[in-house]
Amino acid sequence: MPDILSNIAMGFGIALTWQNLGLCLFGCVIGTAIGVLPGIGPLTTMAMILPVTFWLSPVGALITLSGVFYGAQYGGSTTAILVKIPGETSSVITVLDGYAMAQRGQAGPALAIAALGSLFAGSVVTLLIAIGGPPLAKVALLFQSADYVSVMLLGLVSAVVLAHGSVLKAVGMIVLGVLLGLVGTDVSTGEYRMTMGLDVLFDGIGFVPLSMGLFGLAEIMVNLEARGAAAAPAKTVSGLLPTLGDLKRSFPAMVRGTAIGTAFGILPGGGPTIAAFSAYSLEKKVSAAPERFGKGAIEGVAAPESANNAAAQACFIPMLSLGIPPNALMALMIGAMMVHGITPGPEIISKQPALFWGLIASMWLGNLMLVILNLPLIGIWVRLLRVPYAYLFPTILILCCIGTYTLNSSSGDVVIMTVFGVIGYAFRKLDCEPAPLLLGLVLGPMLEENFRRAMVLSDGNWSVFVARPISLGFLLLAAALLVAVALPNIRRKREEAFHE
Amino acid sequence: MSRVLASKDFLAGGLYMLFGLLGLWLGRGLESGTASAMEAGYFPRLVCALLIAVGAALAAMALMGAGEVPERGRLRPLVFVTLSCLAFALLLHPLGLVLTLLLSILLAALAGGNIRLVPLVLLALVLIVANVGIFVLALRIPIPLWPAL
Repeated sequence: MPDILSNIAMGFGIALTWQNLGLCLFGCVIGTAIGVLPGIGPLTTMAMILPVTFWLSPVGALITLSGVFYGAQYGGSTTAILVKIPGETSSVITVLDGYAMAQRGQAGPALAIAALGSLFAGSVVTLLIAIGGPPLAKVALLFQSADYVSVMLLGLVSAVVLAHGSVLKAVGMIVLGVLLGLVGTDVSTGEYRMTMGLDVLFDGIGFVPLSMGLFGLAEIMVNLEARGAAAAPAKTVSGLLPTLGDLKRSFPAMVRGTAIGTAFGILPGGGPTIAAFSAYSLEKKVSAAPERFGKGAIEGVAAPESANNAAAQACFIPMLSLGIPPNALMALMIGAMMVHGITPGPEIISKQPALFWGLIASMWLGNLMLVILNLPLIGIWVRLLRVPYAYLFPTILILCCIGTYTLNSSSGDVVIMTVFGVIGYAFRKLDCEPAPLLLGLVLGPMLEENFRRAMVLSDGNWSVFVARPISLGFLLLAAALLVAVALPNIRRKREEAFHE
Repeated sequence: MSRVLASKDFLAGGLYMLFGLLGLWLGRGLESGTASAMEAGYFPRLVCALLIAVGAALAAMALMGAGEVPERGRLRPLVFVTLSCLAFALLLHPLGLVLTLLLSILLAALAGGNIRLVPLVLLALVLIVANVGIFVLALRIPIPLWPAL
């Protein structure tokens, strides 16, 4: 325990320098802004500012990027409550009760509870990472190649189970992602693979051009096609303070939301959106008066808002302690670390303590900043919604182009981005969700390397994956998940959860 | 039948198979090796085979029922967003950042959004100044500003 305290103190020492504090604020402001704006998500934004972070220290880069990520969770709920437009998919469920509260003139308490719930969840999870991360990393040091293969398979399987829509389509997207990850130089033999002889592909398909194309450009195309009435008149906010009764009813919901959010955040393939949905349905189930939900029940705001923020931060646990990204956003963080020459894996905590503890301390500070940013400044954020999309999308498009170019000063990367923009558009038309592909892209090379090593060590004997207990455990868990999703009963529930 | 063949699931399955076959073809020159001594081609072939199998299963299941047909898209956003990015990629070196940005923004505006000329020019000016300021002046990324004479 004193160990953790001194580590946390060191973390705050790093996070509280003027530079890192400024970067944290910068990340949170950008995150809130894009959270408020529908049509641009945290993934695209993080990819866009990734090139800028190369000029920062590694810890500064991670502080900025994670600020964008959890800032977006705060911003998304503001518009969900005030104008019935969820800025992010993770706030879709907040619309139900949040907007109903706003219509009753209780927009202020709804916003305050959303922010306090997020702060509560953020603080709990930050503490959890500080306590749980290091021991988990020690366990991970026992892992051998075969175990890594199995844990990654588990991750990919649960990404499939938790993805929207058809299971087979999600499997296809992941496998395609793994395949795309293999393009370029083979690390073991040095041979070029599937490059078509193009120089730009020798180093592989970059994470940034691919994600900017699949998410940034494809989103612009789809949005321009389906552009209806953009800005809705916002409710005015008066009286921020929730009553004591509000707080009493929200607190248990926050606790439950935080627990669910943490579980879904750690689970590979999970994330803020599914966490918010699950927390809402749980809250409805345990409530003594479920009929109030959808008509402005404050628990219906508190639970999902705590859950999405808890999940957004809990994803950092597997990323920091195992080096395995649980979702596409964390895959991008891993990409950012690798650019700074840091190899992700269980050694990060012991070899880069400043990075780990500095990031954790900054997350807590960031959560505090976000409450301050969101509550008194709410008017400014609402005004952002009036920016017409006609101004917004050329800006996003140009930032995608220039951001991709500056990564390697390569026009070829911009072409790759454009190609994936078109592919991403086609995928959207066919209801194939692109996020699992990104996870496959990052895990693909790691999976191959460990798979090859495991097979060399076992002399080509496939039974190595079931012979080691750790590996067997992960495989059984993956199989159980697959069976579960195939059972009609659970399948129906899963669909309900997505359609609610 | 044509409705089934145009369904989202069938098309997606076909697309997966296409990518799998493309992968096999592009990697045709790579050695496979054996499970205990894998060469560069072993894992990619495994992945391609899996992708083709998934695609085939998806397409086969789509054949059994009448699936949903994708909504008709509009070509305009697709074409002009693509052109705008390609213009950026191909023109940056001959023309320099300022003119390239101007052209890309104008092409982007053709994709939709109904922006009027004066606000469009103002938007372009703001974006050019901001990008030159951030990337070239502040971050010192070596990008030519003007056409090389």
